[in-house]
Amino acid sequence: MLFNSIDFALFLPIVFLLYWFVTNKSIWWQNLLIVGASYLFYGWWDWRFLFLIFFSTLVDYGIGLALGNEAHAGKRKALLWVSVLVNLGLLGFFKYYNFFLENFVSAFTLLGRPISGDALHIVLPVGISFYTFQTLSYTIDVYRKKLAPTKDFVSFMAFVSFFPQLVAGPIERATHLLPQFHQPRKFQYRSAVDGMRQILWGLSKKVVVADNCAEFANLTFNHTSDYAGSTLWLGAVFFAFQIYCDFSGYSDIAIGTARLFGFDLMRNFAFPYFSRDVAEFWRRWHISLSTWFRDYLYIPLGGSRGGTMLNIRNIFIIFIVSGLWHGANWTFIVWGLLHALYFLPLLLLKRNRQHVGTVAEASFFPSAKEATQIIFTFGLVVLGWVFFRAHDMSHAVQYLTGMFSSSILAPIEIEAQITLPLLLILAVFISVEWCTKHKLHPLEKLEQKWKRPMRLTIYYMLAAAIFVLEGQPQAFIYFQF
Amino acid sequence: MKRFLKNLSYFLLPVLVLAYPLDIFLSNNLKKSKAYGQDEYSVYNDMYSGNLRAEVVVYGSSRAWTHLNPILLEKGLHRSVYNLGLDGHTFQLQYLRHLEYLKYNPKPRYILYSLDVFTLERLPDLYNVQQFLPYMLYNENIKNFTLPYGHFSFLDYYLPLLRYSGKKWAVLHAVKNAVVPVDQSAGRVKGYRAKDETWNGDFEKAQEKLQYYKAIPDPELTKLFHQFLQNCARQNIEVIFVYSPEYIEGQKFVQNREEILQLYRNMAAQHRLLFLDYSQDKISQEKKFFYNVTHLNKTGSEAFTNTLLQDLKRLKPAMALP
Repeated sequence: MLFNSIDFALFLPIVFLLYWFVTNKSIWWQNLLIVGASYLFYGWWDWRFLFLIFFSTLVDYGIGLALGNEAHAGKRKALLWVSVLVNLGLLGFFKYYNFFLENFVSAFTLLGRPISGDALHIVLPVGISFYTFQTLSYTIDVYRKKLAPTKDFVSFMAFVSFFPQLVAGPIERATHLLPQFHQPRKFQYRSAVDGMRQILWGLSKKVVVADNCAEFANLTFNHTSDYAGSTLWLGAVFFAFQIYCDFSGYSDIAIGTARLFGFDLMRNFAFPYFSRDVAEFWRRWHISLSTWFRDYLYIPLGGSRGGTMLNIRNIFIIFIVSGLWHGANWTFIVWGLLHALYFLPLLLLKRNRQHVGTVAEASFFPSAKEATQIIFTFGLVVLGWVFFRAHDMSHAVQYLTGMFSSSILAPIEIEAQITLPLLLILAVFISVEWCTKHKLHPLEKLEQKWKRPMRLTIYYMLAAAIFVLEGQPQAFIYFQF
Repeated sequence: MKRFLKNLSYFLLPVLVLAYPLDIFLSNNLKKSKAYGQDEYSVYNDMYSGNLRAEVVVYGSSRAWTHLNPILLEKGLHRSVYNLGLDGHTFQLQYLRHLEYLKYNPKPRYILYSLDVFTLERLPDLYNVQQFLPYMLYNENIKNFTLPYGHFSFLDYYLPLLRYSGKKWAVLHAVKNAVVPVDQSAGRVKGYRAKDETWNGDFEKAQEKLQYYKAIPDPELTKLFHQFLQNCARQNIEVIFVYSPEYIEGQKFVQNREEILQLYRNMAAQHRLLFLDYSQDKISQEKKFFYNVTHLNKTGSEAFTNTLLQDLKRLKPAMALP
């Protein structure tokens, strides 16, 4: 079920009313309703995927209990490995089987020992990377004794399958989300209103900005050879905004929806395109994944404690694994590698934590230096997105070659009728984000600044923009991961 | 919670109250468009107003509305004629137009059915979707024929305004029509509009992309076409098959062209219909009459309508009134 669909528009109010008016007497019933709604939400794509998520839930619930009852360090470690192997095994099979098979076959063929291997027709379950990492966080935190294992299976099922963030995050830590399923929930008016605002803002980002940018970006990425360098640059920039608004829009809707049910989800994006260097970008982009890798991979590998060379190795590992997490394609690995390379000079010069605050905090406009840094960082990120969006490596190379060809100054080849309204939408969007960059989302705490009639005008304008300017509906990009 | 639901209701109430009036506003103004929607709106408007009352109607695709001039036919036949040719669609949607026509207008005496190799093909896409927007609310026929394409959802046919979601150009045209005087440019006259153009490169481009084309008549659509012919006979509507000129050089592009023509000949024989085939006519031999392989330009369409008129007078003398 897509957030930007009629199905969801009917589903959400029904679940909301049942949750607060029918099952409100007991946490258990509320959690059970969340499980039922989440399984319906997930099964809407393909009911067969439900067995997989149930199996994953069962394994981690069981291992969590076993870890709680086990004091022997060796056995605890063995239990942890069972969970890791089962979860990553499922992920590996559904997501990476064909990728590794093809690469093994190619490698052996190159070595003069051709082997055969038949690719399987495997359907990738929606959001498998998200819920796998979420359940893994539970087992690891229980193993680390940061969290007591839960005995409440319904709560645990609700934690794994919580529909607002099930298929595209934010990837929640068990230490943050699971305890919320054990606490009584009271309807909070301000929180619910803010949740609605965040849903409205997320929906406008997805439907108005992302889906319209997609139409342009799809043209340049699907017909790369037909366009001049200037158009390819613009296409890459539009893709940068497509993926940002698509994914952060989804996160906003997820966070807002969760708030309607009395849950607090972690922030996933913090205006990443206003970053002054790549290190800052990664503190602001897909925060739930970056911090997951930091907590469960980078720090266990030694983090920054083991000297420069070890630190460099760890940085490369997390960026490459992060690339691979996104998809079974060399383009994602190169995308991760490229960001590791962007990160390297900052690490060597010990400037990777130079920009931790918000840009231009004390003034409305950025300084010339900050503006240059923002544009330069954005340019580097856009180049990375070319690998991310390309079908394969040769396509990425073709696209980049086109971008840097002599036609870089040629007139844009896509009709002004499409390009100009899109540029106008982006200009409005960037301005709004810039003016509200100190907030969690642009519509947060609107009542502090605007009176009711003005607030209503803003809501209606956004609703009208969603209605009229809606682009060709596109699936959320991150569903494929 | 009460406060939340109350405020949410206050926010949604104006939307619900205004949805239907806004729908009427958009639909009524969109209907005035000429350039937008391939100028199909004028035909729908004439049809739904119930004032068409034509004795002779022309059915078919773009080859119908660009080839058969109703004014010339009216002058020669002394009967009212209207061209209901539907751009870019095959019998699949041409039949919808037939049903809608009969719902709002008296039945015609004659149907000149303009055929082409694609007439009985089933098209996967709903071409020119915007043409249905102003007329589809609560319209069962339009719902039944267009819903299977998947472009509209079931609720689009029943909830006001919903179908305009994301149709920014349609909304823009409707608003434009409401605030500035409606486009006075020549649109379709009695459903017909000639194209005053010279030969373009469409054919050469198509040939570059495709070596040849094979038209595949859809069995269900063919069956429906037979039913349509039977129903017309039952209602005393005489159908005449017309295969208007196609540029001779392009005819070999369709690999099974002869097979399709034979299908039409058999149908005509089975239903005892007159079949006028102009694909080998002298007009088909001259490039100057075409702007692409399948479409005649203004000069060509006038020459062809006159030829057709003479043939109708000769072969169907009762059709031409004194």
